[in-house]
Amino acid sequence: MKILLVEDEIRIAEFVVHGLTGAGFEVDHAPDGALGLQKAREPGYSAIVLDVMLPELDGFAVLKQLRAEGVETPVIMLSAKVDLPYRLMGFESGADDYLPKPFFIEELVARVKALRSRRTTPPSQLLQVGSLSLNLVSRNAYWHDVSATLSPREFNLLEYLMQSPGQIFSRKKILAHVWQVDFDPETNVVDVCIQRLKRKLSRGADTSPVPIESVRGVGYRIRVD
Amino acid sequence: MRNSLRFQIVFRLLMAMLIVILANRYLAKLLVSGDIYSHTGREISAGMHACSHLINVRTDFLECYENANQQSMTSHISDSLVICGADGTPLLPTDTNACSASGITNIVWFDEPSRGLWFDDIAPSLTQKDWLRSIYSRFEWMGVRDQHRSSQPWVMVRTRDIEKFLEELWQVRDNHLVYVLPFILLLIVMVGFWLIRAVLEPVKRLELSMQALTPDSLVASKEIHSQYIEFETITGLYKDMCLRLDESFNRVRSFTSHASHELKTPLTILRGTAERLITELPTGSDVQVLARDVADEVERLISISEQLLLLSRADSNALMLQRKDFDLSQFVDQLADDAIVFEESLKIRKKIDAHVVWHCDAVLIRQLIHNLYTNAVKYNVPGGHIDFELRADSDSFELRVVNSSAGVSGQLIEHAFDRFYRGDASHTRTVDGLGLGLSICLEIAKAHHGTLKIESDSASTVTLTLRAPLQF
Repeated sequence: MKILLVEDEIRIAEFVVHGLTGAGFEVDHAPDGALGLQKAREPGYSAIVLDVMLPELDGFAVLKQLRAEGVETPVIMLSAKVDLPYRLMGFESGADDYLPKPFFIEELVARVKALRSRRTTPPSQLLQVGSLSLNLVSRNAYWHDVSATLSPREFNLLEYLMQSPGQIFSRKKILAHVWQVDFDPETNVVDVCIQRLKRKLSRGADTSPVPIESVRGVGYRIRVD
Repeated sequence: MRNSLRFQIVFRLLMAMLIVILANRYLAKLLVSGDIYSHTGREISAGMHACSHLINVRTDFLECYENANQQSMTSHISDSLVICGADGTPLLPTDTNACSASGITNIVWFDEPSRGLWFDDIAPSLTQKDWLRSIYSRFEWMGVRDQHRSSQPWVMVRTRDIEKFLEELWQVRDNHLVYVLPFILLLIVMVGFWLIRAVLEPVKRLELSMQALTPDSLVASKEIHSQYIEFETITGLYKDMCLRLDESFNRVRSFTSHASHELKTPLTILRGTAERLITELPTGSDVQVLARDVADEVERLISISEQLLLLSRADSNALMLQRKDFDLSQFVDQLADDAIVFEESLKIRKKIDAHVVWHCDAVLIRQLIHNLYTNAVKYNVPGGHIDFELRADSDSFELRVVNSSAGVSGQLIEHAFDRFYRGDASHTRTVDGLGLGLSICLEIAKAHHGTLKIESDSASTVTLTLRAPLQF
């Protein structure tokens, strides 16, 4: 799977390339709008990650030109401008998604994957990491042959972790995302919730341990082997 | 009163009026004495003509007559005396000695029926005046001489004419004082007010325009240009000032906005790199923990830049709301339940009306209410409490978040919505945050046509009250 990244900021490009490559994509990088347009015309890309502020030709212009020429490759725009008019402008120019900076590379990866599957198949109802899977509709989690119905908090937590397997999420970040508190209440709710999740999924004593891992002083993650 | 322009102007007008009144006597004399002179002069001439053949003409009298005739003038009744009786018998002391004793010299006689008096050039004393008054009415003529023109000889005045004329004059003056003056005064006050209004009108307009100024709309309204050229400079200056203010405000705003945009690229890089570092460092190692610390600080920076951007957008009225129906009851209820889990040391109470649905920007409102909650936790005391109260009527609602606190100074209440203000500086270290929370809350509330108030009572509780219309 080949992805085209059009981004002038070399260090952003670096970690995006690293992240996408790590997620199993093949990435081409174009450092400005004109070059990006030229490369995007070549067939073979399954998605384009396009920055808005570019030298030579800005992202909107590149996108409009591409769509005018009939190139229908899905496009995710990256921009520091998050205001509605800019997002609308992006979608009007023919973008499929719009990701505001600063973003997590895992989110970009997730969105690229979503974009690809949206184009090919209906959106997946199942989030899967190894033998751990999560049904996004029924909110059931499965680990090997154990299944468990999750509470909304547990579901949100697991979904959050599973969207970016391997990445370590700090307690703060989990609190902000799952409980929507932007300060540290100095309680062990996250631990409690993770323990509960693990217990629910490892009812059978013989199953291998649930791959939810807490890294002391760092955070929590889904372990990928 | 002293500071009122109205008062000052009316006061000055009245002072001017007073001066006019006082000067009036002299003014009136100045204006009417000419008339008196010509009028009485004419009468005298006629009288003299009429009786000249009857009288024993004396040289000085003839001279007097000539002059009176020619110049038709008199002066104040004054100093000389001439007497003649009806039958030629003198009515006054006939011997010159007696006259001299009364201060009367220079006596002139008339032979024929009594017609007049004649004074000499010495001003009559008081007794003479009394005496004169007694004979005054019995004579038709009085000889007078211009006091100030000693070279001029005698003239004669018909006494009753003078009396009558003066009487009329005093009458006029009395009328003037009683009726005309108050009327003029009233008129002056009215005119004064009218003038003041005309003068103050452009100032009033300036005032209104200034009242309408807010940091959001610093452009002076267009109607403020004055029709008076005298005010053109000041309105011009004022407009200039507004423009410059607006410009600098805009510059500040766009600086904040640009700065937070410009920060985004390096922050993206930092965040990406830090997260990558955490993933790639040996799990459980000390460096990994350090990397997490770095990543946490980066998150903080990102949050600061986002909050600044939100504030600068609110300042330039560019806070765009994406409104939809939002179940406030459910959200606050959930929040209170979470608080029970999170804050074991605090007593959480809730009193929430069900099904309060607010048409609002859910993302911003979540942020607002979370900030209120965060605030209530941050400034609480161990064993304290937080109360959530949500009440709604048909078109608006009131959300109160009450928390216990370790005594709150009035200063804190006053500055609670100031940016980067964090209350007592001594425990800022222990409280995580930026001091932007409440100012952001206020901006969000304002954008939703709502109000946010902070109150504190002596029992060390702080109440934050959010009121807003459910639809707008």
